[in-house]
Amino acid sequence: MNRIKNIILAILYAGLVISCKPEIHDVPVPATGGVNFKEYVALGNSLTAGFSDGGLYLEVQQQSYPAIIAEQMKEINTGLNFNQPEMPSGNGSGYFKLKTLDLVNGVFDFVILPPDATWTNKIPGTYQNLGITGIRVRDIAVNGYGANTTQGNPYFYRILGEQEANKSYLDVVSESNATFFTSWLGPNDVFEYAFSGGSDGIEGQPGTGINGLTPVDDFEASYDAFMNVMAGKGASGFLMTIPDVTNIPFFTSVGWNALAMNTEQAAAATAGYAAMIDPQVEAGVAEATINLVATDTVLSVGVIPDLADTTVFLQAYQAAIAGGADQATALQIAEDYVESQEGIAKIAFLESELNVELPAHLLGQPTSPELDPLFAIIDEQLATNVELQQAIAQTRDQITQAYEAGFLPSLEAVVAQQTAAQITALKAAGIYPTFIAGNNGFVIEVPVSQANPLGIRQMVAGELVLFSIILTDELTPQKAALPKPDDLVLTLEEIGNIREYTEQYNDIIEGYASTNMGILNMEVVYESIQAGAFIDGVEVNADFIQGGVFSLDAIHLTPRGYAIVANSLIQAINQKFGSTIPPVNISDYRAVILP
Amino acid sequence: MKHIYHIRSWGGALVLVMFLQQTLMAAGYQVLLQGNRATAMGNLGVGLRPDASSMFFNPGAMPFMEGNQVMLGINLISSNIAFWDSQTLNSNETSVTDNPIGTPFHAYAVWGPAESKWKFALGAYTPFGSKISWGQEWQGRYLLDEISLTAIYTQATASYQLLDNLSIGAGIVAMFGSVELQRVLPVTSDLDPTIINLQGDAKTGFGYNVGLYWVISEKWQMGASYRSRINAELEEGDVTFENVPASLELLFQPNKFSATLPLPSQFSLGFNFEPSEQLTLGIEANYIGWSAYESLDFNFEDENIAIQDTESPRNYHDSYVFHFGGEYRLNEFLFRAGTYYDLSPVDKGFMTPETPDTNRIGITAGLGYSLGEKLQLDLSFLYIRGQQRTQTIEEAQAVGTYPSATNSTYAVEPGTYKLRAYIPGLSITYKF
Repeated sequence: MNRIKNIILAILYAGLVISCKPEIHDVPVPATGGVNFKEYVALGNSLTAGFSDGGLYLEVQQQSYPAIIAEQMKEINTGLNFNQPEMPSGNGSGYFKLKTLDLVNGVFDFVILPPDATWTNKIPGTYQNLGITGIRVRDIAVNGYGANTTQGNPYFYRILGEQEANKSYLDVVSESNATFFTSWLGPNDVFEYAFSGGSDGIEGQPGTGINGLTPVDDFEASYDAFMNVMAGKGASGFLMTIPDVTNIPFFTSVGWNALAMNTEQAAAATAGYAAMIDPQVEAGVAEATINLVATDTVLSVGVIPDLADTTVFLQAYQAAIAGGADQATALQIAEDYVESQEGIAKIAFLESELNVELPAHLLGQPTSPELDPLFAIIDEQLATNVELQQAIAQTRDQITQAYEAGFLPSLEAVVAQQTAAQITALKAAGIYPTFIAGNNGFVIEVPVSQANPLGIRQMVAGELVLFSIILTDELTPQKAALPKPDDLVLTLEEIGNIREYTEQYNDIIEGYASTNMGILNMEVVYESIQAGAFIDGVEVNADFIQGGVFSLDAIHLTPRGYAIVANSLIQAINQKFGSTIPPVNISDYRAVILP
Repeated sequence: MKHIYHIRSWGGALVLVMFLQQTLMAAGYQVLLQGNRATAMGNLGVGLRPDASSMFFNPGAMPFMEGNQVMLGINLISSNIAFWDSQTLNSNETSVTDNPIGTPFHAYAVWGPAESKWKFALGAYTPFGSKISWGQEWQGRYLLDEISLTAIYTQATASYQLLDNLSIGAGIVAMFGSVELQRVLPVTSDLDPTIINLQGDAKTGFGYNVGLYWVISEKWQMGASYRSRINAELEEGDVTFENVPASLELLFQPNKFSATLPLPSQFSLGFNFEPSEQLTLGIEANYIGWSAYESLDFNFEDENIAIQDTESPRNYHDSYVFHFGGEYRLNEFLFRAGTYYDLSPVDKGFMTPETPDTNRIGITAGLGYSLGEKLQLDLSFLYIRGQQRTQTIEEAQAVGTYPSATNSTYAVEPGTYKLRAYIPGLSITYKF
């Protein structure tokens, strides 16, 4: 019996003992291909540092795309050393966190976690992640860029030793032992301009500020210096281009026409602007009209008869001279002529012609060309003849008094008619805000000009509102319809600048492509996110919060977004250099943390 | 401060809906372990010389059984499925299920008056079931984390010997079943992974089986049987959530669900050949009516933007299983071995993680031992080798089970799957 019992037990347990789990033998073994992954160094700005939710803190640093790539490279080179200038555990430089979120109504509330007191403390060392928040290409060769924490860059300051205050970013890069590198330098040269609403202009041009676009020549020179440093090392690498910043949630979350109104609100807002604008327009029209009438009146009484008389006299005199008469005879002929019936008729005709065309001339409209010399004389008189000016001013005051007292109904009719015409023109030009039930373009402040005397206009399709508007009170019901400052919007012109400069910078970057230098077109990566994609069991897109890719600052990425960047780089590296670094599963990396 | 944010389109909610579209069960939830003598012989039973397990395999065979029998048996299923994310270039990401040991059982009692042409039987067994645990880390965790399906059939049978060499039988079956499945929701919060759990008991389902047994000659016997389909109708199942962040609490409230799962019909035909006193050989074919499994639809009692009724096509086709096995008697020992080939009913693009079904080869061996006249022990060991099967993203997109530009359904996890199972078993038969 014992033997049988043993057999039974043996068979029953056999299943448990030999149930080695199945293995799939086709799974590839990562291989290095034609590239040296001995030392990987990542260069770039905040996006390379792992910055997320408006701050740099330990959790997101550990999921920066260079950290993800380095971790995957370790499957090939187990000895790979990849250090990042880690923040103390805690809030790091401070960041946003969702406190509440009402998904149904789209209302949220966040807390701003304060920075750690020690985050700017120096932690000098050799780092392989050299992503420095805020750095632009034009900053990389600047000595003293990290000299202190107030005027210098604190993120650079903290990785420099006490005696290294004067070092430039390129100095630090040149000290690295990189055999392979990636660079995502460049975005900030255009992003800073975009994030300031384009208000800082183009660096080097009049009226520009610190966040202006980097001049293309400066960008090129600086990038070239950087590439020379890398060439000196003999390192191969990948250069990442600059995506079109205008398509990220910072610019797409609040639409140009997100000013939603019901019928009553639209009517009230329209009436409100009308009440503000109409009196201004009417006052302007009245003033201009009265000025015109006064000028016209004074000229037609005090200047034009004389001018017509003189003109006809001169014509007769000059004709006589041309006919061979001497001066005295010619004078006599001319005097006789202006007394003659024909002469009187001619003067009267010219006078009436001038009177008829005078208003048009005063309004700057074209008149009969043969009258041009005469109107030139009138203009000169208006400009120089003090007596005439005084007479006009006096007449204007009299008419104004009479007009304001209501004695000039016909003039009022003219003013009303012209006011209406001008309002129609303003509306047509988009600079007289009107609102309808539904979505309306925001009203924005623009420079006052002759064409836009009010200095406001409504936004048009294609223009962008900055996400930072939601941090202001500009969207409250009380203020939503009021004009928005220029630094909260990107106009079509500013968007054009952004795209033009992005393209030019990218042309420069792409020019460095070579056998050991790959180019990763980040616009392609960003476009695939914007189009929406289903990857590794999760849907991702560029929507704020629920898109999963962009963090709470609407600019930087979530760890999941950085994982997508890491995979894009990994696949590009594999393709170019024949390596087989395995990509990561992006759903292992978090999206926005829901409260 | 409160920030009012005008959401352009509420894509997030749709994402959540998507993850509920995936469904309960897949192919291969049939458990062919209803008697360890049969199991050891390549899982064939319909044409074999009858024993108590014939009430399952072929109720028509029972009149040819000598005396009365009570049989109790159990099997221990240790099965695992490996997954490789072969659809992502250069990926070496793999996972393997960590399934709990499954314990299907069978219990039969067959009795007939002495010298009678009748035999009566009562029994309970578990012809369908599945326990799979992928865990909360694997790539398809938003489709399935764990699943457990149990269907217990109870059966009452009567058989009658029509002729000297021909008998028939029929049984009535009542099915009791339950299902539990759990998946991770694609939500990130400060909590542990958010989980949805669906658990429900099936309404008692009724069906039948019929069989015929023909002793062609002393050396040849033939059996044929048919078992009807039973629909497992889940009603008032419980939907519960774990680790729901506050912002989603309104959407993820406890709920009720209903769903129907077909337990398919099967037609079997088998031949038994006894070339000598010692040796028995058998062949058998089964035709399984998997085409009944057209789609799996979930209806929720309370719907909202995240929880909505789903329909998920399965489109299984009818399939076959072919068996070959033998038994050799040496004194009180019976040595058995066999093999079978189980064709997958699952078409391209419909291979779900609940049981990523592939064509399977079963290799069996076993031992019978008689302890005197009354007691019989049957041991078996079954090794199942599923063909490695790769389902591409394109295949899944083509049938609308994986998201594409025109479709948001996510029902399968494309990739490469491989199944292995090791199943020891034991039956004890008391004869009287």
